[in-house]
Amino acid sequence: MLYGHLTAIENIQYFLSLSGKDKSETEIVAALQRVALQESAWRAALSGYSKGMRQKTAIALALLREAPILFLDEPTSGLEPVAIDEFNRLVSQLAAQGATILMVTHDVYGACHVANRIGLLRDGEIVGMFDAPEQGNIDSEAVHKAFTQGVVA
Amino acid sequence: MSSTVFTIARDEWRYWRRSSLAQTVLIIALLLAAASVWVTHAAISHTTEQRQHMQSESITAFEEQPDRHPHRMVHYGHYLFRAPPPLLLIVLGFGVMTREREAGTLDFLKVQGVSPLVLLAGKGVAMAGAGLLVLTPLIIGALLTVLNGAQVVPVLTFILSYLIYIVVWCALVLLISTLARSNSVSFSGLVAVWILLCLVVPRIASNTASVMVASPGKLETDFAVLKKLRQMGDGHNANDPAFKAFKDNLLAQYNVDSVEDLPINFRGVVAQKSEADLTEVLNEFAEQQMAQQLSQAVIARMFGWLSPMIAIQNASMKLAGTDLENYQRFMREAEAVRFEFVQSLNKLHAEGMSLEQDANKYKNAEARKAATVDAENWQMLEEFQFTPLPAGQRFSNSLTAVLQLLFAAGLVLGFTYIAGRRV
Repeated sequence: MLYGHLTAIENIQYFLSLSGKDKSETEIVAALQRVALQESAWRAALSGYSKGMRQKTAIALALLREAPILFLDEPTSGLEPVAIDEFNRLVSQLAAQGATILMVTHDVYGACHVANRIGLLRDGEIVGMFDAPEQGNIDSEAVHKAFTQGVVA
Repeated sequence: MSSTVFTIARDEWRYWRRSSLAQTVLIIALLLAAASVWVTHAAISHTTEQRQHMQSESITAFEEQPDRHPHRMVHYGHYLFRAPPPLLLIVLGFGVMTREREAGTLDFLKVQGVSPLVLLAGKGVAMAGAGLLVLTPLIIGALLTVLNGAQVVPVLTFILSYLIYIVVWCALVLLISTLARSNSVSFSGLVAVWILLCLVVPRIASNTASVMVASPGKLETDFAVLKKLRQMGDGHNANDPAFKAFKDNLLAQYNVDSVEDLPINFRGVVAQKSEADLTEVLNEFAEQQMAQQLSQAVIARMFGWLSPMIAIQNASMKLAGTDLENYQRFMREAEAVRFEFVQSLNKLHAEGMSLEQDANKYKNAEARKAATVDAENWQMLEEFQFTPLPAGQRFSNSLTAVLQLLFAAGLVLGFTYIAGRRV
Protein backbone atom coordinates (compact mmCIF):
# COMPACT_ATOMS: atom_id res chain seq x y z
CA MET A 1 0.00 0.00 0.00
CA LEU A 2 2.90 2.37 0.73
CA TYR A 3 6.08 2.73 -1.31
CA GLY A 4 8.92 0.35 -0.56
CA HIS A 5 11.59 2.67 -1.94
CA LEU A 6 10.66 5.45 0.49
CA THR A 7 11.22 5.71 4.24
CA ALA A 8 8.30 6.05 6.64
CA ILE A 9 8.82 9.80 6.85
CA GLU A 10 9.13 10.15 3.05
CA ASN A 11 6.03 8.03 2.47
CA ILE A 12 4.02 10.17 4.83
CA GLN A 13 5.39 13.41 3.39
CA TYR A 14 4.63 12.24 -0.13
CA PHE A 15 1.04 11.16 0.48
CA LEU A 16 0.32 14.24 2.58
CA SER A 17 1.62 16.51 -0.14
CA LEU A 18 -0.56 14.69 -2.71
CA SER A 19 -3.60 15.44 -0.60
CA GLY A 20 -2.44 19.01 0.02
CA LYS A 21 -2.03 18.53 3.76
CA ASP A 22 1.69 19.09 4.24
CA LYS A 23 3.00 18.63 7.78
CA SER A 24 6.32 19.39 9.38
CA GLU A 25 8.77 16.61 10.09
CA THR A 26 8.21 17.20 13.82
CA GLU A 27 4.51 16.46 13.39
CA ILE A 28 5.29 13.36 11.34
CA VAL A 29 7.73 12.11 13.97
CA ALA A 30 5.11 12.72 16.64
CA ALA A 31 2.60 10.63 14.69
CA LEU A 32 5.13 7.84 14.25
CA GLN A 33 5.79 7.92 17.99
CA ARG A 34 2.06 7.80 18.58
CA VAL A 35 1.71 4.58 16.59
CA ALA A 36 4.81 3.22 18.35
CA LEU A 37 6.98 2.70 15.30
CA GLN A 38 10.50 2.26 16.55
CA GLU A 39 12.72 5.28 15.87
CA SER A 40 15.40 3.25 14.08
CA ALA A 41 12.90 2.52 11.31
CA TRP A 42 11.78 6.06 10.57
CA ARG A 43 14.48 6.74 8.02
CA ALA A 44 14.77 3.24 6.58
CA ALA A 45 13.17 2.16 3.32
CA LEU A 46 9.80 0.49 3.80
CA SER A 47 10.96 -2.44 1.67
CA GLY A 48 12.75 -3.68 4.81
CA TYR A 49 9.68 -3.28 7.08
CA SER A 50 7.56 -6.03 8.54
CA LYS A 51 3.85 -5.96 7.75
CA GLY A 52 3.09 -4.62 11.22
CA MET A 53 5.52 -1.74 10.78
CA ARG A 54 3.88 -0.86 7.47
CA GLN A 55 0.46 -0.91 9.14
CA LYS A 56 1.71 1.48 11.78
CA THR A 57 3.12 3.83 9.13
CA ALA A 58 -0.20 3.79 7.27
CA ILE A 59 -2.06 4.57 10.49
CA ALA A 60 0.34 7.42 11.27
CA LEU A 61 -0.46 8.79 7.83
CA ALA A 62 -4.19 8.49 8.45
CA LEU A 63 -3.82 10.28 11.78
CA LEU A 64 -1.88 13.11 10.19
CA ARG A 65 -4.51 13.41 7.49
CA GLU A 66 -6.96 13.85 10.34
CA ALA A 67 -9.16 11.19 8.85
CA PRO A 68 -12.53 11.17 10.63
CA ILE A 69 -12.74 7.38 10.40
CA LEU A 70 -10.02 4.78 10.06
CA PHE A 71 -11.02 1.84 7.89
CA LEU A 72 -8.79 -1.13 8.65
CA ASP A 73 -9.21 -4.14 6.39
CA GLU A 74 -7.73 -7.28 7.94
CA PRO A 75 -4.88 -5.29 9.52
CA THR A 76 -3.63 -8.23 11.59
CA SER A 77 -3.61 -10.91 8.90
CA GLY A 78 -0.13 -12.26 8.46
CA LEU A 79 1.16 -10.70 11.65
CA GLU A 80 2.91 -12.73 14.31
CA PRO A 81 1.13 -12.98 17.72
CA VAL A 82 3.32 -10.36 19.42
CA ALA A 83 2.75 -7.95 16.56
CA ILE A 84 -1.01 -8.64 16.68
CA ASP A 85 -1.06 -7.89 20.34
CA GLU A 86 0.92 -4.71 19.82
CA PHE A 87 -1.37 -3.63 16.99
CA ASN A 88 -4.51 -4.26 19.01
CA ARG A 89 -3.09 -2.15 21.82
CA LEU A 90 -2.50 0.66 19.30
CA VAL A 91 -6.09 0.45 18.05
CA SER A 92 -7.43 0.55 21.63
CA GLN A 93 -5.21 3.50 22.38
CA LEU A 94 -6.39 5.43 19.29
CA ALA A 95 -10.00 4.65 20.11
CA ALA A 96 -9.46 5.85 23.65
CA GLN A 97 -8.09 9.09 22.22
CA GLY A 98 -11.32 9.56 20.28
CA ALA A 99 -10.56 8.01 16.88
CA THR A 100 -13.41 6.23 15.11
CA ILE A 101 -12.18 2.94 13.71
CA LEU A 102 -13.98 0.46 11.51
CA MET A 103 -12.01 -2.74 11.29
CA VAL A 104 -12.70 -5.91 9.32
CA THR A 105 -11.07 -8.99 10.82
CA HIS A 106 -11.31 -12.75 11.21
CA ASP A 107 -9.57 -12.49 14.59
CA VAL A 108 -12.64 -12.84 16.80
CA TYR A 109 -10.79 -12.83 20.12
CA GLY A 110 -8.62 -9.84 19.15
CA ALA A 111 -11.68 -7.92 17.99
CA CYS A 112 -13.47 -8.60 21.28
CA HIS A 113 -10.56 -7.05 23.13
CA VAL A 114 -10.48 -3.79 21.18
CA ALA A 115 -14.02 -3.20 19.86
CA ASN A 116 -16.94 -1.31 21.41
CA ARG A 117 -19.26 -3.00 18.99
CA ILE A 118 -18.94 -6.06 16.78
CA GLY A 119 -21.11 -6.82 13.79
CA LEU A 120 -21.00 -10.37 12.53
CA LEU A 121 -21.14 -10.50 8.76
CA ARG A 122 -22.29 -13.46 6.72
CA ASP A 123 -22.93 -13.38 2.98
CA GLY A 124 -22.82 -9.58 3.07
CA GLU A 125 -25.41 -9.25 5.82
CA ILE A 126 -25.05 -8.46 9.50
CA VAL A 127 -26.27 -11.56 11.33
CA GLY A 128 -25.37 -10.51 14.85
CA MET A 129 -24.46 -7.40 16.86
CA PHE A 130 -22.45 -7.43 20.08
CA ASP A 131 -21.86 -4.34 22.25
CA ALA A 132 -19.25 -3.98 24.93
CA PRO A 133 -20.55 -3.49 28.47
CA GLU A 134 -19.80 -0.28 30.37
CA GLN A 135 -16.84 -2.00 31.96
CA GLY A 136 -14.81 -4.75 30.26
CA ASN A 137 -14.79 -6.38 26.86
CA ILE A 138 -17.35 -8.02 24.60
CA ASP A 139 -17.95 -11.64 25.51
CA SER A 140 -15.65 -13.42 23.12
CA GLU A 141 -17.22 -16.84 23.78
CA ALA A 142 -20.62 -15.59 22.65
CA VAL A 143 -19.21 -14.05 19.50
CA HIS A 144 -17.14 -17.14 18.77
CA LYS A 145 -20.12 -19.40 19.27
CA ALA A 146 -22.29 -17.31 16.94
CA PHE A 147 -19.47 -17.20 14.44
CA THR A 148 -18.73 -20.93 14.39
CA GLN A 149 -22.39 -21.94 14.45
CA GLY A 150 -23.00 -19.81 11.47
CA VAL A 151 -20.10 -21.31 9.66
CA VAL A 152 -21.20 -24.88 10.44
CA ALA A 153 -24.78 -24.05 9.50
CA MET B 1 -3.14 20.08 -9.74
CA SER B 2 0.15 21.05 -11.37
CA SER B 3 1.94 20.79 -8.02
CA THR B 4 0.54 17.26 -7.61
CA VAL B 5 1.78 16.39 -11.10
CA PHE B 6 5.27 17.58 -10.25
CA THR B 7 5.19 15.85 -6.85
CA ILE B 8 4.43 12.57 -8.63
CA ALA B 9 7.11 13.26 -11.23
CA ARG B 10 9.67 14.01 -8.54
CA ASP B 11 8.80 10.79 -6.74
CA GLU B 12 9.22 8.80 -9.93
CA TRP B 13 12.66 10.32 -10.30
CA ARG B 14 13.41 9.48 -6.67
CA TYR B 15 12.40 5.89 -7.43
CA TRP B 16 14.78 5.79 -10.41
CA ARG B 17 17.57 7.33 -8.38
CA ARG B 18 17.18 4.54 -5.85
CA SER B 19 16.80 1.76 -8.40
CA SER B 20 20.14 0.34 -9.51
CA LEU B 21 18.57 -0.87 -12.78
CA ALA B 22 17.19 2.56 -13.61
CA GLN B 23 20.47 4.22 -12.63
CA THR B 24 22.45 1.86 -14.81
CA VAL B 25 20.12 2.37 -17.75
CA LEU B 26 20.23 6.16 -17.39
CA ILE B 27 24.01 6.25 -17.14
CA ILE B 28 24.45 3.91 -20.10
CA ALA B 29 21.96 5.91 -22.15
CA LEU B 30 23.66 9.19 -21.30
CA LEU B 31 27.07 7.79 -22.14
CA LEU B 32 25.78 6.30 -25.40
CA ALA B 33 24.06 9.52 -26.38
CA ALA B 34 27.13 11.60 -25.54
CA ALA B 35 29.39 9.12 -27.31
CA SER B 36 27.19 9.07 -30.40
CA VAL B 37 27.20 12.87 -30.60
CA TRP B 38 30.95 12.97 -30.08
CA VAL B 39 31.63 10.18 -32.56
CA THR B 40 29.35 11.81 -35.14
CA HIS B 41 31.04 15.16 -34.61
CA ALA B 42 34.49 13.57 -34.79
CA ALA B 43 33.55 11.59 -37.90
CA ILE B 44 32.19 14.69 -39.64
CA SER B 45 35.25 16.74 -38.67
CA HIS B 46 37.58 13.96 -39.77
CA THR B 47 35.78 13.46 -43.07
CA THR B 48 35.64 17.19 -43.75
CA GLU B 49 39.29 17.59 -42.85
CA GLN B 50 40.27 14.59 -44.95
CA ARG B 51 38.15 15.74 -47.87
CA GLN B 52 39.58 19.25 -47.72
CA HIS B 53 43.08 17.89 -47.39
CA MET B 54 42.67 15.48 -50.28
CA GLN B 55 40.89 18.04 -52.40
CA SER B 56 43.57 20.61 -51.69
CA GLU B 57 46.30 18.07 -52.43
CA SER B 58 44.57 16.98 -55.59
CA ILE B 59 44.13 20.52 -56.79
CA THR B 60 47.71 21.34 -55.96
CA ALA B 61 48.94 18.18 -57.64
CA PHE B 62 46.67 18.84 -60.56
CA GLU B 63 47.69 22.44 -60.95
CA GLU B 64 51.36 21.70 -60.45
CA GLN B 65 51.40 19.28 -63.33
CA PRO B 66 53.57 20.27 -66.24
CA ASP B 67 52.22 21.06 -69.64
CA ARG B 68 50.37 17.99 -70.81
CA HIS B 69 48.26 16.52 -73.46
CA PRO B 70 44.79 17.81 -72.57
CA HIS B 71 42.93 14.48 -72.74
CA ARG B 72 45.02 13.00 -69.90
CA MET B 73 43.67 15.71 -67.66
CA VAL B 74 40.09 14.61 -68.30
CA HIS B 75 40.43 11.75 -65.79
CA TYR B 76 40.43 14.05 -62.84
CA GLY B 77 37.69 13.97 -60.28
CA HIS B 78 36.64 15.74 -57.14
CA TYR B 79 36.31 13.85 -53.88
CA LEU B 80 32.61 14.04 -53.16
CA PHE B 81 31.23 12.74 -50.03
CA ARG B 82 28.27 12.35 -47.21
CA ALA B 83 19.56 7.44 -33.01
CA PRO B 84 17.21 7.92 -30.37
CA PRO B 85 16.50 6.12 -27.14
CA PRO B 86 13.07 4.44 -27.07
CA LEU B 87 14.51 1.26 -25.57
CA LEU B 88 15.84 3.22 -22.61
CA LEU B 89 12.41 4.72 -22.00
CA ILE B 90 10.90 1.23 -22.14
CA VAL B 91 13.37 -0.23 -19.63
CA LEU B 92 12.97 2.80 -17.40
CA GLY B 93 9.22 3.19 -17.61
CA PHE B 94 7.54 -0.13 -18.36
CA GLY B 95 6.48 -0.34 -14.71
CA VAL B 96 5.40 3.26 -14.11
CA MET B 97 1.75 2.24 -13.80
CA THR B 98 1.91 -1.54 -13.46
CA ARG B 99 4.24 -1.15 -10.50
CA GLU B 100 1.59 0.92 -8.73
CA ARG B 101 -1.03 -1.63 -9.66
CA GLU B 102 1.01 -4.62 -8.49
CA ALA B 103 1.98 -2.95 -5.18
CA GLY B 104 -1.58 -1.82 -4.47
CA THR B 105 -0.48 1.81 -4.33
CA LEU B 106 -2.66 2.69 -7.33
CA ASP B 107 -5.85 2.21 -5.32
CA PHE B 108 -4.28 3.92 -2.33
CA LEU B 109 -3.41 6.94 -4.47
CA LYS B 110 -6.97 7.06 -5.77
CA VAL B 111 -8.23 6.95 -2.18
CA GLN B 112 -5.94 9.89 -1.44
CA GLY B 113 -7.83 11.83 -4.08
CA VAL B 114 -5.24 11.59 -6.83
CA SER B 115 -7.03 11.20 -10.14
CA PRO B 116 -5.52 8.62 -12.53
CA LEU B 117 -5.10 11.30 -15.17
CA VAL B 118 -3.08 13.45 -12.77
CA LEU B 119 -1.05 10.38 -11.87
CA LEU B 120 -0.45 9.69 -15.57
CA ALA B 121 0.52 13.30 -16.14
CA GLY B 122 3.03 13.12 -13.31
CA LYS B 123 4.50 9.90 -14.65
CA GLY B 124 4.56 11.41 -18.12
CA VAL B 125 6.48 14.46 -16.90
CA ALA B 126 9.01 12.15 -15.21
CA MET B 127 9.39 10.11 -18.38
CA ALA B 128 9.76 13.23 -20.50
CA GLY B 129 12.45 14.42 -18.11
CA ALA B 130 14.35 11.18 -18.61
CA GLY B 131 13.98 11.50 -22.37
CA LEU B 132 15.18 15.09 -22.22
CA LEU B 133 18.19 14.03 -20.20
CA VAL B 134 19.12 11.46 -22.81
CA LEU B 135 18.63 14.03 -25.56
CA THR B 136 20.79 16.60 -23.78
CA PRO B 137 24.04 15.70 -25.59
CA LEU B 138 22.17 15.80 -28.91
CA ILE B 139 20.63 19.18 -28.05
CA ILE B 140 23.98 20.60 -26.96
CA GLY B 141 25.63 19.20 -30.08
CA ALA B 142 22.92 20.69 -32.28
CA LEU B 143 23.16 24.08 -30.58
CA LEU B 144 26.93 24.03 -30.99
CA THR B 145 26.42 23.68 -34.72
CA VAL B 146 24.54 26.99 -34.59
CA LEU B 147 27.57 28.58 -32.97
CA ASN B 148 29.62 27.11 -35.79
CA GLY B 149 27.43 28.75 -38.39
CA ALA B 150 24.50 26.37 -38.91
CA GLN B 151 21.16 28.06 -39.52
CA VAL B 152 18.92 28.39 -36.49
CA VAL B 153 15.55 27.35 -37.93
CA PRO B 154 16.52 23.87 -39.15
CA VAL B 155 18.50 23.19 -35.96
CA LEU B 156 15.62 24.21 -33.71
CA THR B 157 13.18 22.19 -35.81
CA PHE B 158 15.58 19.27 -35.59
CA ILE B 159 15.61 19.53 -31.78
CA LEU B 160 11.84 19.97 -31.69
CA SER B 161 11.36 16.88 -33.88
CA TYR B 162 13.42 14.78 -31.49
CA LEU B 163 11.46 16.18 -28.55
CA ILE B 164 8.19 15.16 -30.21
CA TYR B 165 9.69 11.76 -30.93
CA ILE B 166 10.51 11.39 -27.25
CA VAL B 167 6.99 12.47 -26.31
CA VAL B 168 5.60 9.76 -28.60
CA TRP B 169 7.64 7.09 -26.89
CA CYS B 170 6.89 8.41 -23.38
CA ALA B 171 3.19 8.30 -24.20
CA LEU B 172 3.52 4.79 -25.65
CA VAL B 173 5.26 3.57 -22.50
CA LEU B 174 2.57 5.18 -20.35
CA LEU B 175 -0.21 3.75 -22.50
CA ILE B 176 1.02 0.17 -22.44
CA SER B 177 1.90 0.37 -18.75
CA THR B 178 -1.61 1.69 -18.05
CA LEU B 179 -3.30 -1.04 -20.07
CA ALA B 180 -1.16 -3.95 -18.83
CA ARG B 181 -2.07 -5.86 -15.69
CA SER B 182 1.49 -6.63 -14.64
CA ASN B 183 5.09 -5.49 -15.11
CA SER B 184 5.96 -8.50 -17.24
CA VAL B 185 3.02 -7.97 -19.59
CA SER B 186 3.89 -4.29 -19.89
CA PHE B 187 7.54 -4.99 -20.63
CA SER B 188 6.90 -7.68 -23.22
CA GLY B 189 4.16 -5.56 -24.82
CA LEU B 190 6.47 -2.57 -25.11
CA VAL B 191 9.31 -4.63 -26.53
CA ALA B 192 6.87 -6.02 -29.11
CA VAL B 193 5.78 -2.48 -30.02
CA TRP B 194 9.43 -1.40 -30.29
CA ILE B 195 10.22 -4.33 -32.59
CA LEU B 196 7.16 -3.52 -34.69
CA LEU B 197 7.79 0.22 -35.01
CA CYS B 198 11.58 0.25 -35.19
CA LEU B 199 12.36 -2.95 -37.06
CA VAL B 200 9.33 -4.46 -38.78
CA VAL B 201 7.60 -1.37 -40.21
CA PRO B 202 10.82 0.12 -41.66
CA ARG B 203 11.54 -3.24 -43.29
CA ILE B 204 7.97 -3.42 -44.66
CA ALA B 205 8.38 0.16 -45.90
CA SER B 206 11.51 -0.58 -47.91
CA ASN B 207 10.12 -3.90 -49.21
CA THR B 208 6.85 -2.27 -50.25
CA ALA B 209 8.72 0.52 -52.00
CA SER B 210 10.92 -1.88 -53.94
CA VAL B 211 7.93 -4.05 -54.90
CA MET B 212 5.80 -1.08 -55.99
CA VAL B 213 8.62 0.56 -57.95
CA ALA B 214 10.68 -2.26 -59.35
CA SER B 215 14.17 -1.24 -60.34
CA PRO B 216 16.47 -3.29 -62.57
CA GLY B 217 19.41 -4.99 -60.93
CA LYS B 218 22.97 -3.68 -61.23
CA LEU B 219 24.00 -6.36 -63.74
CA GLU B 220 20.96 -5.70 -65.91
CA THR B 221 21.67 -1.93 -65.88
CA ASP B 222 25.37 -2.45 -66.55
CA PHE B 223 24.61 -4.61 -69.58
CA ALA B 224 22.09 -2.10 -70.92
CA VAL B 225 24.62 0.74 -70.51
CA LEU B 226 27.39 -1.31 -72.14
CA LYS B 227 25.14 -2.20 -75.05
CA LYS B 228 24.39 1.46 -75.71
CA LEU B 229 28.00 2.50 -75.29
CA ARG B 230 29.20 -0.15 -77.71
CA GLN B 231 26.97 1.31 -80.41
CA MET B 232 28.58 4.70 -79.90
CA GLY B 233 32.19 3.79 -80.59
CA ASP B 234 35.42 4.42 -78.74
CA GLY B 235 36.05 8.11 -78.23
CA HIS B 236 39.77 7.43 -77.80
CA ASN B 237 39.94 6.00 -81.31
CA ALA B 238 39.04 8.51 -83.99
CA ASN B 239 39.22 5.75 -86.62
CA ASP B 240 36.41 3.78 -84.99
CA PRO B 241 33.86 3.01 -87.77
CA ALA B 242 31.12 4.32 -85.48
CA PHE B 243 32.39 7.83 -86.23
CA LYS B 244 32.29 7.45 -90.01
CA ALA B 245 29.03 9.35 -90.51
CA PHE B 246 30.21 12.03 -88.11
CA LYS B 247 33.51 12.29 -90.00
CA ASP B 248 31.72 12.55 -93.36
CA ASN B 249 29.47 15.30 -92.06
CA LEU B 250 32.42 17.18 -90.62
CA LEU B 251 34.38 16.94 -93.88
CA ALA B 252 31.34 18.16 -95.77
CA GLN B 253 30.83 21.00 -93.30
CA TYR B 254 34.39 22.24 -93.80
CA ASN B 255 34.35 21.33 -97.47
CA VAL B 256 37.57 19.25 -97.26
CA ASP B 257 38.44 15.74 -98.35
CA SER B 258 40.39 14.42 -95.40
CA VAL B 259 40.66 14.92 -91.65
CA GLU B 260 44.19 16.18 -92.13
CA ASP B 261 42.78 19.17 -94.04
CA LEU B 262 40.39 20.12 -91.25
CA PRO B 263 41.21 23.42 -89.47
CA ILE B 264 40.63 21.63 -86.17
CA ASN B 265 42.06 18.47 -84.58
CA PHE B 266 39.75 15.66 -85.62
CA ARG B 267 40.77 13.55 -82.63
CA GLY B 268 39.79 16.33 -80.24
CA VAL B 269 36.45 16.82 -81.99
CA VAL B 270 35.79 13.08 -81.74
CA ALA B 271 36.67 13.20 -78.05
CA GLN B 272 34.20 16.10 -77.59
CA LYS B 273 31.43 14.31 -79.41
CA SER B 274 32.17 11.02 -77.71
CA GLU B 275 32.12 12.66 -74.28
CA ALA B 276 28.81 14.39 -75.04
CA ASP B 277 27.24 11.17 -76.30
CA LEU B 278 28.63 9.10 -73.44
CA THR B 279 27.46 11.61 -70.88
CA GLU B 280 24.01 11.72 -72.44
CA VAL B 281 23.69 7.92 -72.21
CA LEU B 282 25.04 7.70 -68.68
CA ASN B 283 22.89 10.60 -67.55
CA GLU B 284 19.84 9.02 -69.10
CA PHE B 285 20.42 5.81 -67.12
CA ALA B 286 21.34 7.77 -64.00
CA GLU B 287 18.17 9.88 -64.26
CA GLN B 288 16.05 6.73 -64.68
CA GLN B 289 17.69 5.20 -61.65
CA MET B 290 17.35 8.38 -59.59
CA ALA B 291 13.67 8.68 -60.53
CA GLN B 292 13.10 5.10 -59.39
CA GLN B 293 14.98 5.67 -56.15
CA LEU B 294 12.98 8.83 -55.51
CA SER B 295 9.66 7.07 -56.16
CA GLN B 296 10.72 4.33 -53.77
CA ALA B 297 11.77 6.89 -51.16
CA VAL B 298 8.43 8.71 -51.47
CA ILE B 299 6.57 5.43 -50.83
CA ALA B 300 8.85 4.46 -47.94
CA ARG B 301 8.40 7.90 -46.36
CA MET B 302 4.62 7.40 -46.29
CA PHE B 303 5.24 4.73 -43.67
CA GLY B 304 6.24 7.58 -41.38
CA TRP B 305 2.51 7.81 -40.64
CA LEU B 306 2.82 4.33 -39.10
CA SER B 307 6.26 4.42 -37.54
CA PRO B 308 7.59 7.44 -35.63
CA MET B 309 11.10 6.12 -36.25
CA ILE B 310 10.68 6.51 -40.01
CA ALA B 311 9.19 9.95 -39.41
CA ILE B 312 12.12 11.13 -37.27
CA GLN B 313 14.60 9.75 -39.81
CA ASN B 314 12.83 11.66 -42.55
CA ALA B 315 12.62 14.86 -40.50
CA SER B 316 16.25 14.58 -39.49
CA MET B 317 17.50 14.01 -43.05
CA LYS B 318 15.30 16.71 -44.54
CA LEU B 319 16.46 19.25 -41.95
CA ALA B 320 20.11 18.27 -42.28
CA GLY B 321 19.84 18.36 -46.05
CA THR B 322 21.06 14.78 -46.38
CA ASP B 323 17.90 13.40 -47.99
CA LEU B 324 17.78 11.63 -51.34
CA GLU B 325 16.68 14.74 -53.24
CA ASN B 326 19.72 16.64 -51.99
CA TYR B 327 22.01 13.75 -52.76
CA GLN B 328 20.66 13.63 -56.29
CA ARG B 329 21.06 17.41 -56.66
CA PHE B 330 24.63 17.01 -55.44
CA MET B 331 25.29 14.29 -58.02
CA ARG B 332 23.81 16.36 -60.85
CA GLU B 333 25.79 19.46 -59.90
CA ALA B 334 29.00 17.48 -59.55
CA GLU B 335 28.37 15.82 -62.89
CA ALA B 336 27.71 19.18 -64.56
CA VAL B 337 31.03 20.49 -63.24
CA ARG B 338 32.83 17.38 -64.42
CA PHE B 339 31.25 17.54 -67.88
CA GLU B 340 32.01 21.22 -68.34
CA PHE B 341 35.61 20.72 -67.29
CA VAL B 342 36.12 17.66 -69.49
CA GLN B 343 34.64 19.39 -72.50
CA SER B 344 36.81 22.46 -71.96
CA LEU B 345 39.86 20.19 -72.08
CA ASN B 346 38.50 18.40 -75.15
CA LYS B 347 38.01 21.82 -76.76
CA LEU B 348 41.67 22.56 -76.08
CA HIS B 349 42.46 19.20 -77.65
CA ALA B 350 40.46 20.10 -80.73
CA GLU B 351 41.54 23.68 -81.12
CA GLY B 352 44.87 23.96 -79.33
CA MET B 353 46.93 21.51 -81.36
CA SER B 354 46.97 20.14 -84.85
CA LEU B 355 46.14 16.58 -85.78
CA GLU B 356 49.69 16.12 -86.98
CA GLN B 357 51.16 17.19 -83.65
CA ASP B 358 48.69 14.94 -81.90
CA ALA B 359 49.41 11.91 -84.11
CA ASN B 360 53.17 12.25 -83.75
CA LYS B 361 53.26 12.83 -80.02
CA TYR B 362 55.05 9.53 -79.25
CA LYS B 363 57.80 9.95 -81.82
CA ASN B 364 60.26 11.84 -79.66
CA ALA B 365 60.52 14.26 -76.80
CA GLU B 366 60.20 17.29 -79.02
CA ALA B 367 57.05 15.91 -80.66
CA ARG B 368 55.63 15.12 -77.21
CA LYS B 369 56.25 18.67 -76.07
CA ALA B 370 54.57 20.00 -79.19
CA ALA B 371 51.46 17.96 -78.35
CA THR B 372 50.85 19.68 -75.04
CA VAL B 373 48.90 22.70 -73.95
CA ASP B 374 49.94 25.19 -71.37
CA ALA B 375 49.49 24.22 -67.71
CA GLU B 376 47.67 27.43 -66.91
CA ASN B 377 44.67 25.96 -68.70
CA TRP B 378 43.93 23.74 -65.73
CA GLN B 379 45.13 26.06 -63.04
CA MET B 380 41.92 27.97 -63.67
CA LEU B 381 39.83 25.04 -62.39
CA GLU B 382 37.72 26.21 -59.48
CA GLU B 383 37.01 24.08 -56.46
CA PHE B 384 33.58 22.45 -56.61
CA GLN B 385 31.25 24.03 -54.07
CA PHE B 386 27.93 22.40 -53.19
CA THR B 387 25.49 24.93 -51.81
CA PRO B 388 23.20 23.54 -49.08
CA LEU B 389 19.49 24.22 -49.38
CA PRO B 390 18.34 27.44 -47.70
CA ALA B 391 17.05 27.07 -44.13
CA GLY B 392 13.47 27.93 -45.09
CA GLN B 393 13.39 25.26 -47.76
CA ARG B 394 14.85 22.60 -45.49
CA PHE B 395 12.25 23.56 -42.90
CA SER B 396 9.37 23.32 -45.37
CA ASN B 397 10.73 20.03 -46.74
CA SER B 398 10.63 18.57 -43.23
CA LEU B 399 7.03 19.58 -42.52
CA THR B 400 5.41 16.32 -43.62
CA ALA B 401 7.73 14.31 -41.39
CA VAL B 402 7.15 16.70 -38.48
CA LEU B 403 3.40 16.37 -39.06
CA GLN B 404 3.79 12.58 -38.99
CA LEU B 405 5.48 12.89 -35.61
CA LEU B 406 2.79 15.26 -34.32
CA PHE B 407 0.12 12.86 -35.57
CA ALA B 408 1.76 9.96 -33.73
CA ALA B 409 2.10 12.06 -30.56
CA GLY B 410 -1.55 13.17 -30.73
CA LEU B 411 -2.78 9.66 -31.40
CA VAL B 412 -0.84 7.99 -28.60
CA LEU B 413 -1.56 10.80 -26.12
CA GLY B 414 -5.25 10.52 -27.01
CA PHE B 415 -5.27 6.78 -26.37
CA THR B 416 -3.33 7.30 -23.14
CA TYR B 417 -5.95 9.84 -22.02
CA ILE B 418 -8.76 7.37 -22.75
CA ALA B 419 -6.89 4.57 -20.97
CA GLY B 420 -6.22 6.89 -18.01
CA ARG B 421 -9.90 7.68 -17.63
CA ARG B 422 -10.64 3.97 -17.34
CA VAL B 423 -8.10 3.27 -14.60
